[in-house]
Amino acid sequence: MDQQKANVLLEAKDLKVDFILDEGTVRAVNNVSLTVKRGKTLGMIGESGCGKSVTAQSILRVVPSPPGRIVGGSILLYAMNGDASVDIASLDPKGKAIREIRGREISMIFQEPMTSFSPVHTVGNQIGEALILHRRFSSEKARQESISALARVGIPKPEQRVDEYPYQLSGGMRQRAMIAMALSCSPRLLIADEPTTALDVTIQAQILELLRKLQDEEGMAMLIITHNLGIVAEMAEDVVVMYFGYAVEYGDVNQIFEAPLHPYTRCLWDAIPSIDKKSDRELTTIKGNVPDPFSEFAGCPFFERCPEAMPERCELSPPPLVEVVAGHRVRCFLYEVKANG
Amino acid sequence: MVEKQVLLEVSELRKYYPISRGIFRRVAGYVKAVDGVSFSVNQGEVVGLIGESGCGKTTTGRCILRAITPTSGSILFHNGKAQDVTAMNRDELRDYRRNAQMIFQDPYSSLNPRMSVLEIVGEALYVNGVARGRALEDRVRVLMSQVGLKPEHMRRFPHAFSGGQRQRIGIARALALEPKLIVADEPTSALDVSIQAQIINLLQNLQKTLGLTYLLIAHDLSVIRHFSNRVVVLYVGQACEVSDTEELFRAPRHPYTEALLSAVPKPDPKRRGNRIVLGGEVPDPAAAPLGCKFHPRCPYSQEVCRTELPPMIEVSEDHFASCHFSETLKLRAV
Ligand SMILES: Nc1ncnc2c1ncn2[C@@H]1O[C@H](COP(=O)(O)OP(=O)(O)OP(=O)(O)O)[C@@H](O)[C@H]1O
Ligand SMILES: Nc1ncnc2c1ncn2[C@@H]1O[C@H](COP(=O)(O)OP(=O)(O)OP(=O)(O)O)[C@@H](O)[C@H]1O
Ligand SMILES: [Mg+2]
Ligand SMILES: [Mg+2]
Repeated sequence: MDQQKANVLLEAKDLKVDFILDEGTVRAVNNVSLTVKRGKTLGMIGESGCGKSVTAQSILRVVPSPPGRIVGGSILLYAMNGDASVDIASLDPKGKAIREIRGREISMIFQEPMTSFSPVHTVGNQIGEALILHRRFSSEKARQESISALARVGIPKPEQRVDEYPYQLSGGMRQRAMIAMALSCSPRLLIADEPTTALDVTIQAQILELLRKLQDEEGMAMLIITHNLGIVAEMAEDVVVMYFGYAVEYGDVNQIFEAPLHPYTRCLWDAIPSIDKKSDRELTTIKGNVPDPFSEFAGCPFFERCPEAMPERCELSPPPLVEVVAGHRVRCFLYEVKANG
Repeated sequence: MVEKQVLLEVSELRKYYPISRGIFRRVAGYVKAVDGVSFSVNQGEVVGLIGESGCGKTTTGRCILRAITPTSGSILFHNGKAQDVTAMNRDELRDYRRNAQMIFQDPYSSLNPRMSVLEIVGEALYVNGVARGRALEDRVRVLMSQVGLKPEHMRRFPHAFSGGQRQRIGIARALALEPKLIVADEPTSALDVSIQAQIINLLQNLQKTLGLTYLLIAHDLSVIRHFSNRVVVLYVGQACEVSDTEELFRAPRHPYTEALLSAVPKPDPKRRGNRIVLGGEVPDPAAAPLGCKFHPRCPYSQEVCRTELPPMIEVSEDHFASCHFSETLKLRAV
């Protein structure tokens, strides 16, 4: 047990984030619990609007507020030795403590690199800034370090690129530069929110390989957010499946791909066409649409679309979180039956 | 098997965009968006057009629909008689456009937010004088149910529909004039997985019931394998491989196809890590390398690849590849 605990880097427990808007309240993140292990990759998967980015924003405390607010739960970040921890969810989002965590302990890369780069500063100045801030480097030392950071992510002629502006780089190159910036202070956790969605597959393959190589070298943990099942299967050791703000399933990547438990996960798996074989059957679809973000459910939010829904039971109260086998948790009434019977 | 009937024959298609520089707008070069592409599409078939961003997929599709005029090449459309789309006059084009329609990627920007579904779907019927008034509404009603929309929603505006439903509106609009050919440009890539499956099934059912022919532009190779009969692989404005879909995935004959198939992350954790990662980037179509355009990234390239453009050869029946070594290379399947 203690051995297991020592492997944990970050642990969200019953995290709840609401957006309070004129039209109503969006429960963007609803009782989400998840664990990121030291040096390992957690893949977060789910369809548009299910709360993936808001979960990531909460971990860095950059949820736009108002209208967003963490209304419950905790996000524990453990220290090196594993005993001490800080609850990120209870920090002042503008305070010193979170600023020391951001960029230094935890950093983030996005789908569109232009959102994290300023267009008016050179790539080198932007990478160097964090080094000057967090590690008190002189500007000359920061520049040298920026060049080697660019070299490490495979950017050719880094001593020339360091003085260029983000728009002068190609999409794949910009993504590399953003990774260089995110890794400049050797964070213990890198959050990558759809890091390759805007890229071509051959460039995506380069970036994924780069992330894996850097992870091996640095021993950092990653939280990779994506809607691409292939990327999760390639990169993650553990997987969390999100639906409408809920973490409906969490487990080891092999468990999740070989024996998915939640009906939503199974539907999602069946809905993607196979690249390995031609099938003459129709694709399995999930009936209906993702619910409107303002919807409120007394029971399971997947109820109306679920092929295995049990009337009344699933509709009336929230489904329990059941640990079906060690480390494999699912939020669904189907397994409560099995656990009791 | 019934005799294949060719519907569309694209030969040596080129579309160059001039790049002008300086105050006198001198032409300084050309973006060779499409640079000598040839392939054919049979009646009732789905031909997939794949390749990375900027390789000329959309430009090819738009030339075929004559939304833009190609720089050179011919596009024969067989509808009773063969007609060259690139040489059509106004009246012929009007007729042709009833037979060839487009479905777009983005279900948000491709629908006018100020028009109701009735107006969007019915516009072409009205403009072409096919139906007016009640007859028009009846036809729109039929079209809406064909694509799985509720006909009673025809007076609603696009914002009242979800992404998948908007894509259905776009499909109903494309079907309105009973076209023979539909160019679908990334029809599902803006949609969530669960909705993508609904739209693919819909397109497939419509194809069967209406005998449609599709040119399907997509970068998702699993969608291509599921849905298309043949595939054209483009690289920087040129076709590098044209093949039956199954054969392409089982035995690719061009190194770029091999790399593309390998680069796709597979949803199976047991197969992790076993892939070919190409170096470099896709070249700029305004400054493509000499010889084979793929040679700077190709793991098998030889001296000849640097200097000579490889011709498209038939490596086996109906399977074409443009690689100097396609006969001898042993390439990996997906
Ligand atoms: N700044 C905001 N203001 C209001 N609502 C927001 C805001 N950010 C997110 N939301 C809402 O919170 C919910 C979760 O959004 P989130 O961005 O986390 O989704 P996501 O899973 O990242 O989706 P995608 O795959 O499209 O990126 C959505 O319903 C969204 O509309
Ligand atoms: N109107 C235009 N003027 C100049 N260049 C253009 C024009 N339209 C397209 N191009 C260029 O032609 C090339 C091919 O573009 P095209 O849109 O056909 O690519 P694509 O394969 O559809 O890419 P994507 O997958 O990104 O949609 C690109 O380099 C593009 O920048
Ligand atoms: Mg997001
Ligand atoms: Mg395109």
